[in-house]
Amino acid sequence: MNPTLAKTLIEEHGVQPSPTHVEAAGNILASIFKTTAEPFARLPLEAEPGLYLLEQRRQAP
Amino acid sequence: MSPDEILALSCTQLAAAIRERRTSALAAMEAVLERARQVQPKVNCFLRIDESHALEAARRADREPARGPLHGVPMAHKDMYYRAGVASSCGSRILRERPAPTTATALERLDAAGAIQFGVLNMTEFALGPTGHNWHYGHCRNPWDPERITGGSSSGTGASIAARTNFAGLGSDTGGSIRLPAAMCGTSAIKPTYARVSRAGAMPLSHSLDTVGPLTRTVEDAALIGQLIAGPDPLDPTCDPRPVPNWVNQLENPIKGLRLGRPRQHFYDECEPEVAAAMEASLEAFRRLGASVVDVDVPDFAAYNAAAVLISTAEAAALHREWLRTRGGDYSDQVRGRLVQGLAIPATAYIDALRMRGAALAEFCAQVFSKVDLLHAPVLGIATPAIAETELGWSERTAAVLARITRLTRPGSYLGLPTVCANAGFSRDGMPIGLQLVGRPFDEATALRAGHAFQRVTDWHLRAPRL
Repeated sequence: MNPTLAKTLIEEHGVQPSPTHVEAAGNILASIFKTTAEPFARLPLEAEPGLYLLEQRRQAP
Repeated sequence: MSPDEILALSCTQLAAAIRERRTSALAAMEAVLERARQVQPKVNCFLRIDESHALEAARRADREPARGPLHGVPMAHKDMYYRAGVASSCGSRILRERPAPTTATALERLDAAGAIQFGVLNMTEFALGPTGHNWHYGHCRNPWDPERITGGSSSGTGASIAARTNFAGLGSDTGGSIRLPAAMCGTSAIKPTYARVSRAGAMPLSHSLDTVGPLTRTVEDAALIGQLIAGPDPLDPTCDPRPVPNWVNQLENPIKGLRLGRPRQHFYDECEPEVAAAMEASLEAFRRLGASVVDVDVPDFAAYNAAAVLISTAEAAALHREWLRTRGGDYSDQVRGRLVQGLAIPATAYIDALRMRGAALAEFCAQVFSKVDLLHAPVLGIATPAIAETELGWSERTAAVLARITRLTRPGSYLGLPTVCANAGFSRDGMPIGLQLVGRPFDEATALRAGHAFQRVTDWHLRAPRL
């Protein structure tokens, strides 16, 4: 994520981040988004958070 | 029994000794309090000790009939389990004087079992960090080497049990916060299945991942305490409604025929040779007990770990947003930096991380639990870091350092799987090496049975640091 965008998003919450934290947030989130881009893109339309609990019960012994 | 003999006991053994009048609750309490006076200056594991209250409660326990299976057993817990009207600092400056609004369900259940809480334990500020550092109350130090980290965030729980100034205590785990201090301090532990134990009255960090569980001297104690605190709770809407089996009664069932999975990927990719050797030795012990070891493929955990960070950081940022706005200076730099980052996470990314979780669990179970009963792996592949090398403000480099520490625990949090931890040996420089046994959802019993069998034929869990 562009650090300028990260700064804007954080400041939208009324929080004043330090330049170091802004840079870290931008770079760390960029890396996370890169890692998750493909698996997130593969999620079917029907995937929803509640399916986790269903799967948990389905896998229980 | 002498104080040293008392302090060497597990919870189960101490409760039996009190029940059979071989010792008393008061003698046990006096022993831990005296030990605390000796070790606190070196380890800094306690944030508060309630000495007069604890001694009075112990005297009362000795006069009363036994209340439950932990009658008279002294315990101290991570300082994030609320007791109504009493301040729970949660390791923070912000909450250091706020009276807790309620009493945690886990504490009520331990009270009902007869345990006596004598203090509260150091922890990472708001449970956000795997090193155990606390810049407000001083870092907790590892009893095996005070220059090393304890692991966190349940730092004081791990350190106090290892230092023999606590018999057992509650930790909490969102990305490794029970398993890491257990491994680095050489204790036993269980991180139950997500939603197995009520979170009511426990400080929230990330409601989709937070898990309550005990760190203990033995796996047998983890089974006992885990089973006492687990089970449905109307005060926690996420708590699973199914009844909890009697884990303790199943401990002695043989593990002959049990299949342990040794992961081909991820867990040994950045593993120190002596950690790998300790894991292999532990697998040999399991083989001698009649278990088989099967090499298994595991999914690519990079996406799981990234998704877990999105969830925990976004949820924590939402909980802390108002304080970040109004009291930002009251956070340590590392914790503030991690929280602030969560404010920049788009809602779609957070929701996708949650949407992927069901499919991830299905994928993992299909790959692993179709072939084996438990996954066996190290908790930490690297040497326990020094305090000095992890004394960092928040930056991209810090994130990389912390990610190496949580690399082997975060996938289990994302999947919400039950995990039992046990000490599996020591490094050349005397630091504990922890193993984890990961079970299928709600199958704590199998992991506990295997961990207990391991401790029946090894003595790593009986060793104590010289302090």
